[in-house]
Amino acid sequence: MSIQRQGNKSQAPSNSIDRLIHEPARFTIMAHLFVIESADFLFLMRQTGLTKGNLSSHLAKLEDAGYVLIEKEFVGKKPKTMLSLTESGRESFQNYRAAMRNALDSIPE
Amino acid sequence: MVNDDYLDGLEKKIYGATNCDGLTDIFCGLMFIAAGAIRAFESIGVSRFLTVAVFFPLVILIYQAGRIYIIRPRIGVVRLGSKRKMSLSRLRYVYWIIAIVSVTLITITVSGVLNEIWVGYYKSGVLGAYIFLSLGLTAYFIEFRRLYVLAILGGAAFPLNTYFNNQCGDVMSPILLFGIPGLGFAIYGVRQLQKFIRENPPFEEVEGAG
Repeated sequence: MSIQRQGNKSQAPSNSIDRLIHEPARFTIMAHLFVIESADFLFLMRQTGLTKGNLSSHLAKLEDAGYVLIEKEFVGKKPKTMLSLTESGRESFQNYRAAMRNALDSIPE
Repeated sequence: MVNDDYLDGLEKKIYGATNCDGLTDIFCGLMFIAAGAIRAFESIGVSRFLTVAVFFPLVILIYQAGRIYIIRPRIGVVRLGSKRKMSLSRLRYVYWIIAIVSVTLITITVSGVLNEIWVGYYKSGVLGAYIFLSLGLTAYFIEFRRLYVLAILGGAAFPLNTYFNNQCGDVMSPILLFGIPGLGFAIYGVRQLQKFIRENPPFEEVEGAG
C-alpha cells in the first residue's frame, strides 16, 4: 500500500506535462519558436531538420491548440508563411518546462 | 532539454545560422579592398570622393542583393528574439557614437588645427584605434568573431601605413595593408558562400503550410 502511494506520488508531476508539447518534433518546433520572435516555414524546416509534410502536420496541431500563430505576409515582394508562438503558446511552453523539471526532480537518485 | 542553457544554445545556433553564409565576410573584405584601392585610383586621376561614392554603395548593394536573392530563398527568414534585438539596438547606439567621432575626426583633419607632427600621430594612432574599436565593438555585439581579425588588421594598418609608405610608396602601402587582408577575407567569404549554396539548395515557399 505504501509502495503504491509512493508510486502515485512520483507519477503525479508527470501528469501535468503537456503531451502535445512533449512529442519530440513538436517540442523542437516550440523550443525554436520560443527563442525567436518569428520565422518563416522554410527557416523552421531547415533548423529543425523536419520534412515539409512532417512540419506542416505538427504545426497544424500546434495551431489548433492555439500555441502557434500562422500568418501569411509579404517579405519584399514574396509571400511568406510566418510562424510565431502565441501568448498562450509561450505560457504553455514555460509551464511544460516547469512540469518537466518537477518530474525529473521527483525521480529518486 | 528544458533548462536555460539548452535554450540559450538553441538561440545561438539559430543566430549562427544567419551568419554562416559568408556574405558578411565578402562584405567586409570588399570594404577593405575599396579602402585599399582609394589611393591607387587617386594615382590614376580618379578622385577620392568618386571612388568612395561608387565603391562603398556598390558593396552595400552587392550585400543586400546577395541576402535577398541567394540567402533568403535558401534558409528563409527569421526575426530574432528580444534579447538579441536589444543587443543589436545597443550596437545602433555605438554606431551613433562612431558617427559623432567620425565627424569630429574629419573636422579636426580639415580644420588644420594640428601641426604636421601631430597629424602624423593622429592619423596612425587615433585612426588605428578608431578602426579597431569600431570593428571590434561590432564584432562583439553581433557575435561575429572573424571580424575581430579585421579589427586587429584594420587597427594595425594605420600605424603600419606610416612605415610602409616609406618602404614601398603611398600607392602600394594601402593595397598591402587593406587590400590583401580584404582579399583574403573576401576569398574566405566566397568559399563559405559556395559551401552554403551546396548545403542549402533553394526551396520554393510552401503555400498553405499548416
